[in-house]
Amino acid sequence: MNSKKMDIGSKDLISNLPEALIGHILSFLPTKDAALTSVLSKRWRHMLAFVPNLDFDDEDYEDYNRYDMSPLKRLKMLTSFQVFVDRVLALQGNAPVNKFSLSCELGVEPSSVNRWLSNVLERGVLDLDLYVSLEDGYPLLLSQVLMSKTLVRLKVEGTTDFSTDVGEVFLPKLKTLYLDDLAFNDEGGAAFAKLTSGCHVLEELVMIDIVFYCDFFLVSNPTLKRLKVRLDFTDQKPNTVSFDTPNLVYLEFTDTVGAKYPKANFDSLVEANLDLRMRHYQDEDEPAGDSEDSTNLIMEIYNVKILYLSGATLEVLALCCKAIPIFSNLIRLTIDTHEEVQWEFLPKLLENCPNLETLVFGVLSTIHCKPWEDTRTCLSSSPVKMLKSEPADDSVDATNLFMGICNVEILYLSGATLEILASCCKAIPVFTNLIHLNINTHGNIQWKSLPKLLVNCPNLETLVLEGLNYIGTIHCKPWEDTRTCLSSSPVKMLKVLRFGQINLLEKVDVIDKQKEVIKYLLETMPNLEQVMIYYDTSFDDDPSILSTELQMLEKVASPKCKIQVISANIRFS
Amino acid sequence: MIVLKSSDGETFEIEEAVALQSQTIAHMVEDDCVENGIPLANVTGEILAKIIEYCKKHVEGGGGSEEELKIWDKEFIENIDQSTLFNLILAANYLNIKTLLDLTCQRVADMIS
Repeated sequence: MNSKKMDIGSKDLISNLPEALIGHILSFLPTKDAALTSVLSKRWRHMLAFVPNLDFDDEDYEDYNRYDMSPLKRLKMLTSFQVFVDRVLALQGNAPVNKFSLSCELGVEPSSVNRWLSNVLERGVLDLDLYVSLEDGYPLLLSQVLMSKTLVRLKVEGTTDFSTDVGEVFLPKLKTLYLDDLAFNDEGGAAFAKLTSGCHVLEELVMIDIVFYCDFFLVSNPTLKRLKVRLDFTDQKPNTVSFDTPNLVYLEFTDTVGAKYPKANFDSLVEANLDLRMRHYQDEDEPAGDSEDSTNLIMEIYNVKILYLSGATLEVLALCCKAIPIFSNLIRLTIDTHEEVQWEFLPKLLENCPNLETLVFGVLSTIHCKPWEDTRTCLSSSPVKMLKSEPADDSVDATNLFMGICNVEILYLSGATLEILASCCKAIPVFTNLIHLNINTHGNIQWKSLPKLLVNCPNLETLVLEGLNYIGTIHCKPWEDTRTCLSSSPVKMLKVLRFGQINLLEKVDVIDKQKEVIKYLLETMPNLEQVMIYYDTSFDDDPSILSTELQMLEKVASPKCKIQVISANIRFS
Repeated sequence: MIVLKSSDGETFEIEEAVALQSQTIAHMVEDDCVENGIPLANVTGEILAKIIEYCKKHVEGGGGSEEELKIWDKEFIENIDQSTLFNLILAANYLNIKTLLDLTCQRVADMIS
């Protein structure tokens, strides 16, 4: 504890608070720190009883050279952890407990774990967070956990055989269930079924890296609102995956396609995040076959408003779906183009999104083909208003892409995409509807690309530059060519974000360079009404200096312009 | 509008939405006993003013984005002396304003650790 921060007078102040409040304060500390206060005085010993949130982590007792440790020393450490937990729980008596978090890796005895769980369950624990990964396995999750009348949130992580003899499950208050790295070993699927049907108010279910030995995987629960499932890729994965979740609002699903989806009830789904992957056969002769059919799944999510697809999912859509629905409610589509993507399918997908407003891509890169050739028609009739994209690589001919999006109202570009626009496009379209342009200018960007774009934005109102850092020579002022286009720019609002942010290896005078850019912009843009500069630097530079300097500029092109310098703490204007 | 009276006789008139962030006050409003203003015998004017400042900022919808609110909270909590801090804890507890109580208790916990 850092006693320098708290003077003796303050210790008295704390001690004078009612015990429940002290307990509340202590619950913001890790339990082992809170427990340290119990040595302060007799009264403080009792404080622990008022700490409703407990977390125990046996890693705190871990020696760095665990494997070299002598058996005796190891035993001593384990024992001291177990004794610590026992003592804290004893001190707490029968006080109600809110949250209990236990993380055991070192080899705590299962009987101890069960003893502690019994204790907190009896005291009405609401939130249980278990990470139990023992060498000899943790044979069976204490059955009382699955019969708790008070639990609202349950998280179980670690190698637990969750399976064979799951007894009765009755968790009447449970709203959140989080399972990670577990196995359901029974082939009949009864264990999982018991789990989902024993929770009558369940709202959120998360299952990550779960091994399933049953042929079918069925999630059936009438109250479920949020579902995240990531099945482990083993030979014994289920052959069919079904969803009976009429109230589900959010779905996140990762799977290798090998399954059929005979039933998918998603009447209320609003947002979906899908990562479906083709199963790559080792034996080339084996055809993809009828066993891979994701049609039903895709058809059933037709009502979503927000959709996020991994790049691999596009491939699955192209090859494993007989049809895709019309996504009439879809307004926001994100495609993670991080990995190689089957671009050919994109036009078809976009055709089926008649009301799409926002389209977000990751990296716009491709190795072999020019994917955009086919997209021109569909994109230019797409109602998409906002396009965001990450950096692209040089080999892309993005002409058709940009021609296709010329109707957007809001555009976010990275610096690299700006370059692509300037250098890889045979013609830059006129962005008639563009009113808001955001460019990530942090890093090495070609400022001369900017005028080309700005000239084609006749109705631009807001320009946002994220980061003014550039790696240029000290001598050249790269924005000098922009004067003509800027001086007729209609831009009314200029925002500069991350002002002052630099790379660590650079010299401090870079801030002066950034100031010059701003001054230059102020001197040339005649229609500015408002300029906001967000100061963000780790140096002890004083933003008010910048503010004063800018206010005193004489050659400002737009005299009525209001300039504000905003740092995280204070606003100067 | 709701009128709050501190223990040392100061009165504060605030919008209902601001006052309702206190569960204690919310219950009183439900029970309809706020006719002549609400006397808060446990809270001085100085502390009540601070609480009102916090509640005004945190009223639903106003105050700005989550990020901006966090920054404001940080500034708010770092700019008060320890005795005010503890009085705020007691008052937030009495008035049952969970977010303020958590903010102040977290602050003390940070100071301990």
